[in-house]
Amino acid sequence: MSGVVRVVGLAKHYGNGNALVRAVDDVDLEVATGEAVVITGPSGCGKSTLLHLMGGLDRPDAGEVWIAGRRIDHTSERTRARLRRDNVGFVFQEFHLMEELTAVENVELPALLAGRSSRQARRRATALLEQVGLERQAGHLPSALSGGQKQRVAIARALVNEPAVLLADEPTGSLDSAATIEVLRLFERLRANGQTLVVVTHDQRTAATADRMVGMRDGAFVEDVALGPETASAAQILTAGSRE
Amino acid sequence: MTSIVLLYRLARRDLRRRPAEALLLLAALAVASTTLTIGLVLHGQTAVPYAETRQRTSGPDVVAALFPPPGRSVTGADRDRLAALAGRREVAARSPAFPTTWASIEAAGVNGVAEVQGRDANPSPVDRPAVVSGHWVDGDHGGVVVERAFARALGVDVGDHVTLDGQRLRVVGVAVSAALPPYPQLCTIGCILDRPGWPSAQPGLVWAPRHEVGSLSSGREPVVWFQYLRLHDPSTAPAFAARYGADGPPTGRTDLEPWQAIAARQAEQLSSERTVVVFGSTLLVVLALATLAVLVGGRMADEVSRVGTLKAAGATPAFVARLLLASYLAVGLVAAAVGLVAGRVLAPRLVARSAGLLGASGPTSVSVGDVLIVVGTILAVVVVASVIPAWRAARTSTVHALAGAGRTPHRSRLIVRASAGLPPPALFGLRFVARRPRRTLLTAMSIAVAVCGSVVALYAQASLRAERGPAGGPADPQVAQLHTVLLAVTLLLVVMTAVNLVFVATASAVDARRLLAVARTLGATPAESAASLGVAQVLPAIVGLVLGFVAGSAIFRALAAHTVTPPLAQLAGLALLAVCLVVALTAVPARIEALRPIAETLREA
Ligand SMILES: Nc1ncnc2c1ncn2[C@@H]1O[C@H](COP(=O)(O)OP(=O)(O)OP(=O)(O)O)[C@@H](O)[C@H]1O
Ligand SMILES: [Mg+2]
Repeated sequence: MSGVVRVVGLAKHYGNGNALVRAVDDVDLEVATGEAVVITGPSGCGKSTLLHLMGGLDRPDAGEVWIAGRRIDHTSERTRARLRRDNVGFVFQEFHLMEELTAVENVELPALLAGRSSRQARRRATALLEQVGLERQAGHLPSALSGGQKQRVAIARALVNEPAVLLADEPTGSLDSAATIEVLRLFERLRANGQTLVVVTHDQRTAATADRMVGMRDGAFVEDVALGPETASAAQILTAGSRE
Repeated sequence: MTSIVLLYRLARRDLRRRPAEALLLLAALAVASTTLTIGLVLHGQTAVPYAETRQRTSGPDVVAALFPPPGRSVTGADRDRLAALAGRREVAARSPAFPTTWASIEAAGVNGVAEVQGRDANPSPVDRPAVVSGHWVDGDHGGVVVERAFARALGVDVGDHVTLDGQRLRVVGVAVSAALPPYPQLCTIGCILDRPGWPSAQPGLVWAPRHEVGSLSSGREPVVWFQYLRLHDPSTAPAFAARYGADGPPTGRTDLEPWQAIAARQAEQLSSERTVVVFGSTLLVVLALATLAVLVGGRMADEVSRVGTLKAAGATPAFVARLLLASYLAVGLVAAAVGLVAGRVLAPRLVARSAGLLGASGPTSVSVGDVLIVVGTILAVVVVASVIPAWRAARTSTVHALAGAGRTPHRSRLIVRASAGLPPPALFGLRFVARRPRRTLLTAMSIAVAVCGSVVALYAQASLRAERGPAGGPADPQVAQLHTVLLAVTLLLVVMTAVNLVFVATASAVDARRLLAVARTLGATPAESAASLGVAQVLPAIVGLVLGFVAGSAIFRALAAHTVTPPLAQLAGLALLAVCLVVALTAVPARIEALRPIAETLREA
């Protein structure tokens, strides 16, 4: 059992009869430690649903979800919350920062939820903000940050409890190109540091930050390719992108 | 004209879209206007039953009571003086002088003291008690007639037996008279209560055949004489009493009580009920204000985007403000109408229970003034609660409104800093409080109002208990009546507050939905999420509790002549109950919200 995240025969349906939508339809996936996986596919093919299931935000209709060696699809909401807290970091397209908390307060929140002392949490949050290049904005409210800065705060927040896996849903979907590059550089660095990543995107440039790309259509996987080291480095693509 | 039609159409759709809110609003305003109406009706009502009783029983204008000096009995000379008084030319009619004394009374385990008046079988020209059941005293067949309020207090009716100083007598009738103050205030005209344990007794009136009185009287309770007079001009009764009556301790002269004094005491009995109702209705009006403000405030967030659409379509801010007001005003008018009708129906029921009087359930009128006061108050509440947010909404910039931003949450540095070291639920809870200061304030206020009302009720009950006669004695109908009115008003307050709380808790939970969903992706458990919503409600509740206690005891001290502090256990119990109620009422919506699927919430966001 080497996978940080493993799903087996996973299915999630909405509606019934003629209106039945197979958002996720019998999917198997195993993400190894330190692996960076990108999931791509057209809008409505079930990417977000799959990501939510992997993170235990939703219950599947069939199949199994394993995180860090524990099966979570049958456990109580409370157990899943604990598991999320310790093993999963989420990043969303809309950032979902808490508007009334400053950057550093946002970042330290999961650490406080995990029971760290406020001093420990603050130290860790400050260090992470430094890593994402926002130490000067630590005391700013989200309303005073640019989109790229907000997303970097959100990423720092997702990392504060050193999760086994970082799940990101369209992390660059709301960003312009310059901000996209800021965020992709960050992902690139995380991958280099051995952080396990699962990123949902339909942005080609994001795919460049991955070891492996999974294509999805109508709730099922249609391709699964390993991206060798010979793939153009993210940095190159990024530079090319920024010249467009 | 077109704009009025448009206004009407939009307002109607608005109410249809939110039936639960419209109903809550209607209930809050209707309850407030009902109690208000009852208070107003009781105000005009007090004189009516006494006047009717007086008329139907040939009530006296002056009650003359001849008391001997202490240790002596009434002499022939004393009685001559009473006869001379009754023969004055101001007097138009007079009853015979009736011998009266006091005796212990026992009926079905209830022990008390009775004032026993000797009467003749044939009706007296002045004071002919109206027999409401059974028949009048009859010397040949024996038996006694008990005054109705006293009969109720003793729990006796026609056919039962009472024991007067060991002598068993049948109750042959129950009657009502205008010649005495309301039970248990009989002794305000004068009593001789010399036996041990008697001074605290509250005698009631029993009419017996004349010969019974002689056998019941003793050296300690001698016979005194009552004579009822009608004057040529009833309005001169106080002057007549002042001129010929005796003041101070019994001197063998005659005490005179004008009918106006008796009427005032009868009215007093109602006035304490009226005070309770008026006080209760004031609190309910305040509560309705809070309910409305919560509703309006809670709605603003999604209302603004609608306002934005309207404004983008060219509506003026004034039109938007009118639209928001219109739907609430419509509800307010309906509520006022419901309250006026309900109050009109309920008020006589409160008065009808004054057993000492007749015709209490006679016509009760709601005057034009009452209608204006009720409608005016309700509409004022609506305007005050909605005009400020409506004005603010109308002034928001159109672009901002279209973005649907609503009010941006506040950030209170103080609260955020204070919460920094706390466990997550408290931390989130405090931050919810900081987000919506106005709602927090309103929660605190509703709870303060309810607790204030309950504290006043506890104080009042304690005072009533302290005034009550010895245990095992007859029940005091006024106390029982006040208990009922107090209980009803308190229950109304508590129920309205509870409904309010559920509404606020639900609004807060919905408001915090996205925030909680995000917190849960970060690893907050459902229990932690629910607890944080709970903290956001319980904190203002505690503030409201403290305020309510302080205000309640202060108000009672201000209203009441003498204050009896209720047992500490009761006050503590009230506090505990309030906290439990708040927690329970908040927990349900919080729990529901905390278990909502995260993925769904995030998708909606
Ligand atoms: N709560 C729901 N109720 C009904 N249908 C749903 C629900 N959630 C998702 N769906 C449907 O499931 C399918 C997959 O949705 P999902 O959001 O996972 O797609 P996606 O690949 O993330 O799309 P996008 O790229 O646009 O974000 C869609 O057809 C969607 O309409
Ligand atoms: Mg999606």
